[in-house]
Amino acid sequence: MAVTADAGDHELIAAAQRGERAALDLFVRRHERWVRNVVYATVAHSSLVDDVVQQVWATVWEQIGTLVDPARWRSWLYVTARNAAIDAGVRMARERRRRVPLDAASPAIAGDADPAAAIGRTEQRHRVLDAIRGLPAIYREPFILRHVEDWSYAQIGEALNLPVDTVETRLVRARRLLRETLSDLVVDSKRQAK
Amino acid sequence: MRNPEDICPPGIDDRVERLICRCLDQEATPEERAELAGLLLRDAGARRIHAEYRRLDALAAEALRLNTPASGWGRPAGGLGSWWGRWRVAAVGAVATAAAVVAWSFLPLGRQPSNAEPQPMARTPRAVGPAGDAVQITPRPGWPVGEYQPVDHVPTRHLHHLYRDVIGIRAKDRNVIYLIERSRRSTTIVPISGDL
Repeated sequence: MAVTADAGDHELIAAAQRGERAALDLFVRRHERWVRNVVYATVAHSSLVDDVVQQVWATVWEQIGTLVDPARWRSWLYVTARNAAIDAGVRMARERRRRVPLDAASPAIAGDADPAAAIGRTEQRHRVLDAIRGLPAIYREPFILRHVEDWSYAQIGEALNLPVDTVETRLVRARRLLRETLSDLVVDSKRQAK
Repeated sequence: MRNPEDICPPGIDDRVERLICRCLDQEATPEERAELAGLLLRDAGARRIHAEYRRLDALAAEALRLNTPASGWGRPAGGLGSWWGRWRVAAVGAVATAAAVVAWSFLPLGRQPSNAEPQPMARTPRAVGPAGDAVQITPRPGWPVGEYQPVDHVPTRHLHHLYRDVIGIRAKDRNVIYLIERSRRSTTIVPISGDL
């Protein structure tokens, strides 16, 4: 029996495990956004995201039969996405064939009424991204999941196999570290607010 | 990077900091939100950290959210938006091409008796047959049979080195066509099936 759009994630996974491609399509549409953001947050270059995300879904289709406990799909998908992104990042670092592009913000600069301001925003964005990527993994991962998709502590805990209390503690510490690293940006905003 | 336990923001204690974070993360109970509201009214240190963390969250969310369109997998189903919709159009074009090359299929070389046992298709782009039976194919001896992979599954950088063409239609089952696929590493025959 074909799955419907209101089917739960577990039903979609079970159907995909039976080989129903339509079920996987639905599952992908439902979760692609956060997978893309996790990949982006990990590989740092938007130019790589499409390739890596395609690899993620190809891997999911090939290996979904190995997912023994469908209730743990979130953790499984997160690890799959993260590993694919890390592999892509390693390959890119190894190749070292090109400079870092201006990334997704470049078109915005081209069409912006104030190019200097646009460049400033781009630089600020990269700085924030660098600071996040510079966090130790135990703090970075929950922070990314919290901010790319507004996941709850429970959802983050499910994805990372952590108790909710631990997720909360790590998010507090991630903020502490980022506040220190980006203190000038935070202080600037406070002055602006006054 | 310093140990986060050593850099507690000045002027507030650990519990207040947690309370602020819980509220910013939409995890606080109504009682906790009321408690924080009272704290923010009377405690300048809590107000400062609350404002800083709120600003930090906004910067992080802006930096982390990728504002580029989703790849083919994420587009709406149906029409040309889905990977199968796009592939179906390609398949129809392939059938048209097949009509031109069908004579090639009946060349003596193409009708050599095959010793290969029929093999089930490893993974087709859609379910085949009402009972889910796999399509049986009969590859010509000597040609490796590859597994069909929709172009959406092929990383973009590999597409530049991938060449596909229709080489024939199986007489018994017209819903199966063969592609010849060449890449840098190999040349394979790839069967695909569908409502062709």
